[in-house]
Amino acid sequence: MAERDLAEELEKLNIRSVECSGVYSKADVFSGIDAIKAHMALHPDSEKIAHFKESRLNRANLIKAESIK
Amino acid sequence: MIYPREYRKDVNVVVNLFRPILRQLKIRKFEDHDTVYLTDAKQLNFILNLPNICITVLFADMEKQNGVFFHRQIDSDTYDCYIVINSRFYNDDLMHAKLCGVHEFCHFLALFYALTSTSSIIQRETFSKRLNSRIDELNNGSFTSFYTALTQGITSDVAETNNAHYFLGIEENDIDYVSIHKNLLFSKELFEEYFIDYEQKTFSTLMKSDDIEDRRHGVELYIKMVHKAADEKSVDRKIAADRAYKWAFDYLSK
Repeated sequence: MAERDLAEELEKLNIRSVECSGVYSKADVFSGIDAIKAHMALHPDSEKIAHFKESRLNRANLIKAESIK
Repeated sequence: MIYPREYRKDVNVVVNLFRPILRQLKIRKFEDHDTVYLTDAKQLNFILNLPNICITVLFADMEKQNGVFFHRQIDSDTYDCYIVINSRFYNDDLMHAKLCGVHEFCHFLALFYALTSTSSIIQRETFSKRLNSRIDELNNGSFTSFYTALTQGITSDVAETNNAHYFLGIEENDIDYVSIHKNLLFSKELFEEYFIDYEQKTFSTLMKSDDIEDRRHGVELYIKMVHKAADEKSVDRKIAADRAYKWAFDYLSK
């Protein structure tokens, strides 16, 4: 089996930072990447963007209401 | 009223603002976790340039690492973060899971501070440089400085103990991440969930007594409460004791 390319996989997922705790291990970082992929398969970016949209609206309304008080 | 820089500088403010987020992450529960959106956190409404940022806790079987913090960029102002914790901790080592989770959460805070205090150009350059260097380290099989601590067992040393580990280099350079980590792990506020007013007054009365036996009971009571809080919150008793020792004098005036 071909060796996995870390830089390529991070780029594909638009991962911009990786901070490790413990001994640095590429295999363990790949395990983390796999966990993220599994999560993203169930919760795509579109779901998160939609949540942010609603959350932003609620936030703006709340700030507005507080500023009127 | 929270002044703009206090959420980065003042450890008490940081704990008050971000402990609710940490609680929502439920680090000690080995189950599917909900994503926590910071735009939903009302206590952060005062941060006008709050980015769209969310964080999720995941688990993975890891051979060597305790955990990993990742951040993804969905679009120019939307960030998707992950704390991945080694699932082996959930067999019988919640204390280590929590230590690691809070550690990774401090990396999340460093990212948050960078996003809210610098320009996107600076962020892009910094993240890119740091990521490339991390990829090189991983490809070359680099080791962190606390390998020995890790292999010798679970102690407070496992948590990185210097600020430099967390610093991205673009946030203000006097943020005390070590102190933030300690406070998020075991704060006075958390201790007082167990060491409530009644116990505080009893402790004070016993410690002020002229009778040496009373004072001994006072010390025993304090130790008992520290251990209780530490055990129930999955914190190393030594870490809790180190923290609680400093607060003991505050309770004498009760």
